[in-house]
Parts: sequence; C-alpha cells; structure tokens
Amino acid sequence: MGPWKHLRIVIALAVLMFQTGAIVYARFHPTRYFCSAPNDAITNFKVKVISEGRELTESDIQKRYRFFRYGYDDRTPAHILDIITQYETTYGKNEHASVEVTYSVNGKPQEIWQYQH
Amino acid sequence: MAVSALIHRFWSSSWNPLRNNLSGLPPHVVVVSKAFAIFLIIKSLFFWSTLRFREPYLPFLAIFDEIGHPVIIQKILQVGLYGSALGILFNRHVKTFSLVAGSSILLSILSAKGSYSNNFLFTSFILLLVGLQMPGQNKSSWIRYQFAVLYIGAALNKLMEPDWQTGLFMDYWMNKLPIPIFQKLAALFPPMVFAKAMCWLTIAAETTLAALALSNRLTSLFIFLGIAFHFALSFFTGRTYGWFFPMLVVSYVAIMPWPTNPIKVLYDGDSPFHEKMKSLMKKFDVDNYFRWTAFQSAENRHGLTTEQLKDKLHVVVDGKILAGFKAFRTMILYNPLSYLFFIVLIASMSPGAALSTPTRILLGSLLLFISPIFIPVGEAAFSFLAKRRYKLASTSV
Repeated sequence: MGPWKHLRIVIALAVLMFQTGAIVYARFHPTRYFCSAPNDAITNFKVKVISEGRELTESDIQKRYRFFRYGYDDRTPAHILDIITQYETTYGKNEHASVEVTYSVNGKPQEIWQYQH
Repeated sequence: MAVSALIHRFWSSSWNPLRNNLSGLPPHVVVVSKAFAIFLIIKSLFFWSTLRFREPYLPFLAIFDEIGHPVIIQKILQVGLYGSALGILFNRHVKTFSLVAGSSILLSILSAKGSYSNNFLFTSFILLLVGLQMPGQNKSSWIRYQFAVLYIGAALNKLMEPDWQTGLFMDYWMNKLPIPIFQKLAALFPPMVFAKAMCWLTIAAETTLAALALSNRLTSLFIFLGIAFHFALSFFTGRTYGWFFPMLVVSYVAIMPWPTNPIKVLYDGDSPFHEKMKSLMKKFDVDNYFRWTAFQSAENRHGLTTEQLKDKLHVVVDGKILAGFKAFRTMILYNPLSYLFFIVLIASMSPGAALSTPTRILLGSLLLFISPIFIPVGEAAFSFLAKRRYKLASTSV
C-alpha cells in the first residue's frame, strides 16, 4: 500500500472522527456545529444593538453579523448568540456595544440574552 | 452530416457527461459527484440560487481573518467549486475534483460561521469521501460510515432534547410550517399525543438507520428504509432541505451492492415488442452495462425453459435471475442515468426551497416504484403488456 493510499485512509478517518468528536462535544456545549443536528429546534429571535449611544438599524445589524435583525433559525439560539459573541469579542471589541437578543425556542415563552462589554 | 458526425464523436468520447465508467470509480459512486455537479449547474444557470459562498467573516478558524483579502478567498473557493463541477461533469479527474469541490465547500464553511449549514456540510463530506474512495472497491464504505455518523448524531441530539421527548418541537413545527396532514391527524388524538409519537418515531427511525448503516448484510433494507424515510419527510413537509435531500438520495446509491459483471438481458428475439424495448433501453445504456441476448441464440439459458423465456423478459445479475417487472425495475435501478435524471428533475421542478406539487407526486411515485408492495401491481401490468406484446408492437409503429 503506497503513501497516498495511507493518506487517503487517514483523511477519511479524520473526517468521520471529527464528526464523532463534534457529536460528543455537543453534549457539553449548547452549539450544535458539525454534529448532524439539523432542524432540531426552531428559534424566533430579535436582536437589538446599542453602539456609541445609537440603536443600530436593520441594515447595520445585517452588515455587522450577516444575519437579519429578527427572524427564525432552524437551530438552537446558541448559534446566533455564538456569532454575536464572536463579533463583539473580535471585530467589534473596541465599539463597546451592548446587545440584547430576545428569543423563543419552539414556541416557548421568550427569553432575553444580553451582551455587555 | 458534419454536425451529426461531431455529435456522434462527442457521444462516444470520454467527454460525454452521461458516461460514468471512466474514472476508475464504480459508476454508482461517480453518480454522487455527478449529481452534485448537475444540481449545482442547473440551480446556478436557471434559478440563480446556489451554494452561497460568503466571503470569510467571523470564521471558525481565526487563520481566515489573516490570510489574504476576503473577496479573493471567496472567489478562489468559487472557482474551485465551479471548476470541479465542470471537471466532474465531463469525466476529468473525477476523484481529484470531488476532493477539490468538497474542500471548497468545507473551507467556505470554516471561513464564515454565517455559511454554516448542515446540508452544505453533508455535501462537502460526501464529496470528500468519494474522492477518498479506495481503488478497486465496488462500493463506498466511507459513505456507509458517514451515514452511521449522520444518523447517530441526529438521533442522539433529538433524544437528549426535552422538547423532542415531550413532542413540543413537532407540535410547534407542524403548525408553523404548516404540515396540514399532520395537523389533521393530530386533531384526532388528545393534545400532544400525535406530536409526541412523531418525535419518538423520528428518533426510533434515525436510531434504526444508524444501526442498519453499520450492517453489510442489511444494506438493501437500510437503503429502502432510509430512502422511504427521507422521501416521506420531504413529501409531507414539502421541503428538500437545500442540498441535503438530493445528495442524500444519491449517496444511498453509492452503497448499493452493484453488479460486478455486465447484466445479461434475455429477451424474445421473435417479439417485436421486446425488440422495441431493447432499442429504447439501449439508448439510455451509454456505458453498455446491459448485454441483450435473444434467448434463441443464447449459449447459456441459465436453466430457464423456452416457455419461461417466451413468457417474460429476464435479467441475470451476478447469477441472480429476475423476470418481468422485477427485471425491468432492475434495469432502471442499475442504470446510473436513472439517478442523474432524478437529480435533473428535482433540481428543475422545485426552483425554491419548497417542493412543488409535481415534485411531490414524482417522489410518491418513485417510492412506490421501489417499494416491495408495488411488485404485484407491476407484475400484473407487465403480464398484461406481455400478453398483448405482438399486437402492441404492430400498432405502435
């Protein structure tokens, strides 16, 4: 068996093991990336951002996080909150914005999540 | 004449997109990559809706924030994707281009969290695994394991969600989409009973599929149940879940037990109807998988009597003999073009995210066609045609 064949096996196993690891990881973390968990929750959400004393508009928020200010997602709210947290701790860390996400999962009562610098 | 000669030359060349036996991969594995290429090209050319490659932004891996200009990275990945699709379609380095296409999608996802979607990710992994197929393997073991991982992940996640355990998810979902059939059925039961049953049925189905995916012996059952499950899901919800449904269906084909020898078709050489059927079927047999032999001149009749051979068309698949409707169904199922045709229909009949009514009818009919319960109906129809084959042949000229 040549080196390319060995490499092929290693890469294929890595692809499968990576997903298996993600399935295990998902048991300990609210996000559901790479773990075959599609359409397992429906999240209705609305995002409000105050930056430099001004409430951001729909297009500001779309530009900032690359998703709409409100809508629904076929996944847990953790994905929306994860993207917002990543933006606010990296690209937007000097803006000192405050973010409020109102969301409801599977039609249950609304919850509020806040991010403050 | 010159145009006709050119078409004939192209048709018999290795550039013919309908050919599937030129890459060193088994034809039913090539079908997976071809399906991806066809789906992408149809969606891009005719519906302007395709894989949305975003420029790197809020990536999973910080390195994407540091390497090159985001627009340049986005364009490189797009060129990789479309270039690979064309390469695969025209039988150029199918394995390599499957790897490139799968990597392009994966890198696009890793470079922007907003690009993450389960159906793109599944497409990416499937293409990578086609590219990593071991030479000489008749079917794809990697894709079989991918199925196991997919269903284990899906079942486990649902099992651990309280809203799936109580049925709340399904209750909300079927009213939000909405799914009218489910709503009507749910009204027949006390509140939440139907929704809870559907949640647990889904978990049970996915767990069963995960277990079946790991069994070599139960491959046929796995394929039938899996396709039935996803056809039913798409039929009732009216959604293809983006790339997920078409890629999933063709991925099932990649783990089918595929004939190792050409399929022998024994027909009645004196029957004009059989002759017509032969010329029609041969038009769709671009790679010459089926060897048609008039039983009158066959050296090996495989123990069949003249009466049996006159009565019905027979196919011999790796020593297994099938007759009548089953023979016809075998010729459809073991022709890679059937699956490419299916992808063309799925891609073109439902332009948006929702399944059109004709597509739903198509899915229902196809499921019936592969279902064991349809065999008696198919046999009756074939017997009806067989008894009238001389008359039919003379009137349909």
